[in-house]
Amino acid sequence: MRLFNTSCINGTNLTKKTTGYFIELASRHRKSQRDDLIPRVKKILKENPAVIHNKMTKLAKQFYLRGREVMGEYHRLNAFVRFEVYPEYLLVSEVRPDHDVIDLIFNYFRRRYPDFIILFYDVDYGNLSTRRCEIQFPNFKYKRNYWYFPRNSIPLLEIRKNIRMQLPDTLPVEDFTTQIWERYYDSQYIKDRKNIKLARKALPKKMIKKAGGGLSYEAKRLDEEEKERQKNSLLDFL
Amino acid sequence: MSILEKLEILGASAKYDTCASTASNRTVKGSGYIGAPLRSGVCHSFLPDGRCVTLLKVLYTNKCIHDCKYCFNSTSFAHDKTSFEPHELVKLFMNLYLRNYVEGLFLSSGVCRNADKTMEEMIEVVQQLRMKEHYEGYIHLKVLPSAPYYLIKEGSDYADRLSVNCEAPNKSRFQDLSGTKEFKSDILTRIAWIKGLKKRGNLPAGHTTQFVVGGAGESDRELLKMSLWLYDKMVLNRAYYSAFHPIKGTPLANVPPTPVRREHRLYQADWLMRVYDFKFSELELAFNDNGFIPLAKDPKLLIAKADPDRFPLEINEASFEDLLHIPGIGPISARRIINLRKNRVIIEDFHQLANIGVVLKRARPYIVVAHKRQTQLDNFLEKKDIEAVQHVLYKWY
Repeated sequence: MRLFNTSCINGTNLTKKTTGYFIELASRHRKSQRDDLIPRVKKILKENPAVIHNKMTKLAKQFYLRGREVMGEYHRLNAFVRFEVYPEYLLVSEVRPDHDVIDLIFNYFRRRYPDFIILFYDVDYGNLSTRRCEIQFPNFKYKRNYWYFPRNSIPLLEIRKNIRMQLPDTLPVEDFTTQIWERYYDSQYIKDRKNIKLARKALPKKMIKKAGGGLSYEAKRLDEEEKERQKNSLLDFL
Repeated sequence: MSILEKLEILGASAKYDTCASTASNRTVKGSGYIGAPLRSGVCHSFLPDGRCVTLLKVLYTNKCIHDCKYCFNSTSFAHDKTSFEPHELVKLFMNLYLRNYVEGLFLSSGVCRNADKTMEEMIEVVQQLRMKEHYEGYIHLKVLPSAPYYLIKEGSDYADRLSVNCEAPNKSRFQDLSGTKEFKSDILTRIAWIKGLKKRGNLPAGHTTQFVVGGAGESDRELLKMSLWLYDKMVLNRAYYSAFHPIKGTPLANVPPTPVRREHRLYQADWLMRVYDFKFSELELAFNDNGFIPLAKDPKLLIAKADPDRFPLEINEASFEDLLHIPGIGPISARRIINLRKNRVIIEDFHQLANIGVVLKRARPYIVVAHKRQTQLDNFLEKKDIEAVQHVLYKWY
């Protein structure tokens, strides 16, 4: 599987060459499983591709927006996922994507951490992927580029045991508390430039939920700042 | 002092440094490494002020021999002085990177004792990251004023991007901000060296600079002129503008803060120069008599209003350059319009333009679509002028 070029997201590259990417992206959209948008777009592409490439009609725009939505979720999850590190070269996190993007996120993190095994839990399943070909997971089912299993069927301890049996070495894991991140995050905030509206736009509540707890501190701080703003504006009014 | 306290102090000391992009064209090696740069940036978090947190942005030390009047690390301002040990910073960074909190490292520093010594220690940090930890991700390294060439060259071997802060647009403004640094030899010479290193193929993410906006009373014209010179002559990738904010205890504590909107207008004008290929003579139309862009107006709209002979333009006939001059049309929509024309598709109504991505609210008064044009008086007049016209009309009828 190729790694998606995120420059597709701005639409500049919706051309003859990259329309294929967009079709693949749009077909991963949860609505595309239910309606006939993709076959309709494919039909128009045969007749008059320029209309789709330059998103001239309503249908073309809808198609483009679906691709963009999927791309946006992939891009944001890459950024907002936070891992727990285990000595078995195991990185574990929780994600709840709306669209079918798990394999894309795996591609991204396998490139970033090539020697690690990445495990994502979503609502129903555990999904696991790695570049290390020597490790096998015989009890799991395989799809695209990753293994999956019903979430509660195999506990994390068993997965770690399985990896430890197959991997000769372990990773010395440094002590890490989320306090490091929290202190750093607070140190970067410039109070005089406070702009909660902009922050909420960049970090919508929906995305905080999708990232599965990785953004809990940011969510807490934004809520605090928002309450303070509301309190101040009320006092100003009174 | 604990490492957490150091992080808090040295992180806060670097918060006014700007580094939005983390895109790098460097290709990664095989397995046995950690991290990979991307061709597009990734924002890992957002602060309540709306700015993104992309990199671990810290100073190596906040001890500084310079006396910059706007800076709270300067000699004249008493505060907690501390510095990292190279291995501490490496450990801290790897912990955050492995857990996907940050996209890379942004390392700047105050000048402790002399620039050579501090720069050497900064390079030790990036060297340890690359050689010992096999880190292949993004690194942005600040070059200290008066750092020697051999250290800058060594830094360019490890870093994706180097930057030297200009702070002010010219020598006289620079002297108003700092008495211990020299604009030409300490800043511009270093930028010229980095340009040479970039030409050799080092620095896949290029080099940048940063201006403090409003600290020395400089105008927007001065800042943009300097940026243009840097883009043209020094092959600069990007100039960043940081609105001046007075810090208690510093010599400029009583100077009023620069409105954030001014920073925004400067970025808009900078974009027009870099991405839209506007000439500086065209930008001049947006400045007022004192050389400032009015805060309430978009510079592109001001330029369009000041050049009414150019408009209205027929959307199906205008060239790419002309399309870029229309407010509400950017490079992406302009390219789409040209592509459609090449494929012999004629745009017939405003809705099609809206689908393409044109902001009709701004573009309408300046365009003709298939011989149709919508004009409104208030697009060309100020509010008070409209009221005056309405008053006259009211009297007539």
